[in-house]
Amino acid sequence: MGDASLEFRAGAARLARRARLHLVLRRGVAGLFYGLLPGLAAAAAGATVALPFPAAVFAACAAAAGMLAGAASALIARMDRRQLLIRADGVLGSREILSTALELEPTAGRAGPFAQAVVEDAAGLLSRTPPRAILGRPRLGLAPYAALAAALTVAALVFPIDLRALFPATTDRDRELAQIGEDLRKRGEKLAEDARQRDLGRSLELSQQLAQLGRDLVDRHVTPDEALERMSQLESGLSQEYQLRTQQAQPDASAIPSPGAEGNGEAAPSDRPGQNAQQGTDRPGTAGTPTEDPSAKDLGDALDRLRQAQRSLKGQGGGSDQAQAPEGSRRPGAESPAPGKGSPGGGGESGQPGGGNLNGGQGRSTGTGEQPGDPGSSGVGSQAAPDKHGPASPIVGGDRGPTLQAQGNPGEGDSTRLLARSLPEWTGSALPEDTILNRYSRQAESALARDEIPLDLRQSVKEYFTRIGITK
Amino acid sequence: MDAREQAAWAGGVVRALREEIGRAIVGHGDVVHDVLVCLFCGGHALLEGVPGLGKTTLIKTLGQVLDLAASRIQFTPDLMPADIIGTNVLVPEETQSAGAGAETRRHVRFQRGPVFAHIVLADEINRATPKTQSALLEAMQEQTVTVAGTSYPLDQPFIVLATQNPIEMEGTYPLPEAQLDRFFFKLTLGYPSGTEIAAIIERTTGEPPEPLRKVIDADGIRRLKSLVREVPLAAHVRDYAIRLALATRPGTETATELVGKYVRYGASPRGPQALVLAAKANALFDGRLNAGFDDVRAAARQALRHRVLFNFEGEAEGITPEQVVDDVLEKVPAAEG
Repeated sequence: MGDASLEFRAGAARLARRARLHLVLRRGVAGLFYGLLPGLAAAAAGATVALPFPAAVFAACAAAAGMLAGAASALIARMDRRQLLIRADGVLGSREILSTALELEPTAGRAGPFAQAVVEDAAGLLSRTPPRAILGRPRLGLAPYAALAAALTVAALVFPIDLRALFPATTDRDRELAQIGEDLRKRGEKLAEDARQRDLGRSLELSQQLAQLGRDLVDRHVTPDEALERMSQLESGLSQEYQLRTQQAQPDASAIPSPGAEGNGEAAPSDRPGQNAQQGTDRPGTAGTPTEDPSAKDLGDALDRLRQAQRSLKGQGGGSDQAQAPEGSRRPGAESPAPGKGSPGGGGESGQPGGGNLNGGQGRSTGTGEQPGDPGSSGVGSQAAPDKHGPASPIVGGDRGPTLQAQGNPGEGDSTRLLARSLPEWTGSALPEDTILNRYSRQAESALARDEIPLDLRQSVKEYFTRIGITK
Repeated sequence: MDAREQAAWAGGVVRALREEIGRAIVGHGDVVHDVLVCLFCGGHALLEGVPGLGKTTLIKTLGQVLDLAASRIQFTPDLMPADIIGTNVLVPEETQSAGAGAETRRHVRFQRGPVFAHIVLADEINRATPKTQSALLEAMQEQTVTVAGTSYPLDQPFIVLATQNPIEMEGTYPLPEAQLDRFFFKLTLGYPSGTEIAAIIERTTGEPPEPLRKVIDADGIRRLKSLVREVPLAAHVRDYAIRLALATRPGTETATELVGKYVRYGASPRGPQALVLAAKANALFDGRLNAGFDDVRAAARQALRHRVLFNFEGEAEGITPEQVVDDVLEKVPAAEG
């Protein structure tokens, strides 16, 4: 009896040791896997962010710590021999003889005639059966994943990848540029469609360039500097195109009443006869007038949007660009008037002509020189009259031009509409004027030489460039 | 004789009994095995089957091979309890007194009823009134009969084998739950196959068969009964039997969905008692030294089917007790954890 009992105990202990070994392996692999995860994260992030520790060392330490922790927890875990022998009975089909023997073994000598026989049979069964036959192979379900994690960690250490390059961060500014790009694309496509129908080659080209610029902004295929450069070129072309359209629609632009200019102030006339001071725009306030060409209006809107985009790119604007945009760049009669005391803007609805910066250009030149090659020298500076909020800010414009000053008191008097002709204002442009004017000159020559311009429009083109004083 | 020899002897006895009974009873091997389990566990069996399936023959045969006294009670509506357990009768007795010659005196004597036998066949037990049916209660549970304040122990071993016909329900009195619970097993007899019918005809229409051999006597039965109770059964196997029984009770944690929906009352503690004892007997008859989960499962249908009472929905849906027990066996895991 004693021998059978000892033999049974030894067999059960052998099985328990084997089961513990399996548990150590299983938990060790699990710990290795879970330890590899932060190591993998560190290895992957090592090329992207500066870690205060070497990624390889951290990965190795984390993996080793996880494995050791798993193995240690298995070593101190309590092995339930009853459950182990119940499982063994199930595997061997021994009709619960092992688990029954475990209960009978302490009192086998006193528990009846069957107890001793059961313990003997159980001991014999355990001695005949290797633990491997009962427990099988260790079930290391996480082993493949641990191997994969280890391989990925090594790969991340050997071939570091800058995640910022793979996943560039999307900022508010990126979203704003994408919105701008989307808007420009739509406007460009709309203008292109219109130009295609009307067989306007130059306009079609500019519209397509505008749409392409919008797409590039959306797809972020263009750097801000490149975008600014392209915007400047497009603005030049679109401004010319716009001038041409409005000239065709209304030859005498100076007679066009500006909508929204219903204030009671009065602007002083320019001190240069024959020259009208520009009120912060290169585009006469024809919006909403019955004579405006709808496509010209679209063109003007696109031009405005392009200028806003320029300001956004330069970090000067963005957000509610209507309120923040320099007045000098806003078209008179645009859909969104620019209210506000200090900046009635071109044709705005302020009604306080004397109370703000008529130029509204925030320091931008509003030179109106019509002299080819030297518009700045004959520019017309303008200065707002002092208002009740303080002295008017002097307009930083053409240094040598005359100053235009609106007279009157805020809120009193009749409205005065100022309409100025000048070179298109280069709102936000960083290019020297000479460069632009030379480009204008070349474009004028090329435009006139283009065959696709209908004959009846060539005269208009020529007049356009003559008017802005470029063509020879 | 050591344990293995005892187990081998028990297995040999049961095999011999089955073989000998098989000479008279065609088929129904499982029923014969379960009747023997009842016998050696000290329980009683309720056999249910249509007429002509050999219920009465089985019990008569059992009495012959066991070398035990068997009696048969045909239950009818006018059967009285005294007809089963016996009654006190006045018996005249002549006494010789000095000088006065012979003198006749009367005294009361208990006349034993048919229940005083080792094997009692209660045929069509559901045809008697509940009053008469209940006369068997004390005999089945306490193994005694009490008449006029005097208790009479029954001969051991004692087993009641009752039969009932499931199709002729008119004029019957279904057994009350209390009495049903006292049956260790409820066994159902099915129709024999064509081959078995041919064998039955062959045996009953030809030469009378040779008389059956007596395999074991009352002493051997008592010894085997005690041996069954010594078979070890591990605690987790016992717990499994308990969980099975509990699972038949609506409202318990282990109750299955079927039980919760259709069962009104589940197994009483006699249910797991029967499961454990039957598991031990199954193991011993198989020549094994301990009982396991399979032994419990093998006895589950027989031990639990008559202890499950359906509610109205269950009756209306035609749910059978076998469905419930099978569902419990499927849903309750053998080993916890």
